[in-house]
Amino acid sequence: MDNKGGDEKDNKKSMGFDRGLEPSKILGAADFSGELMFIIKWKGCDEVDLVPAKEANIKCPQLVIQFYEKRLICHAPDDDKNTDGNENSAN
Amino acid sequence: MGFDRGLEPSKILGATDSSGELMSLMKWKGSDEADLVPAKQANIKCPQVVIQLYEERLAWHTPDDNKNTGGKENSAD
Repeated sequence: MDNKGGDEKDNKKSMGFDRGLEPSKILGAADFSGELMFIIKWKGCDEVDLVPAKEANIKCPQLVIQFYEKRLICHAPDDDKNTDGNENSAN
Repeated sequence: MGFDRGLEPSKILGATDSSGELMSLMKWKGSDEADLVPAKQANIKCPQVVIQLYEERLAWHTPDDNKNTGGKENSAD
């Protein structure tokens, strides 16, 4: 049985940038079968999506750079300066 | 120096924050020289070049340019 007249929109939820939402933050990155993917949190929405890095690099390059700066470089960006130090509590 | 040269950025060779500010070592197209430019400036002027550097730094991911299709290294006696 083929439902050609079905509502395709109901079956296919918009994901990624197709949601039409503005990306809020990149939460993480993953390598899926050799393709770099970002976990993106959207503004005004609690859901997150996996989007290809190639797409994120173009749609939200500043968010991508911000993510990398926090992960790869010891230098803390100006926005995240924590003056209340000690994360390591050793007993 | 830097972007004031009017040259097009080719590639970022590295990054350092020894001066307290994150700086990127920028290689320019058509020139053998490299300059330290503020990362904030590079992020705006050439974000794709910056992203390319960071992708290469990911230890667990190999960018498309570095795919090695040639074989496994098996040393058999």
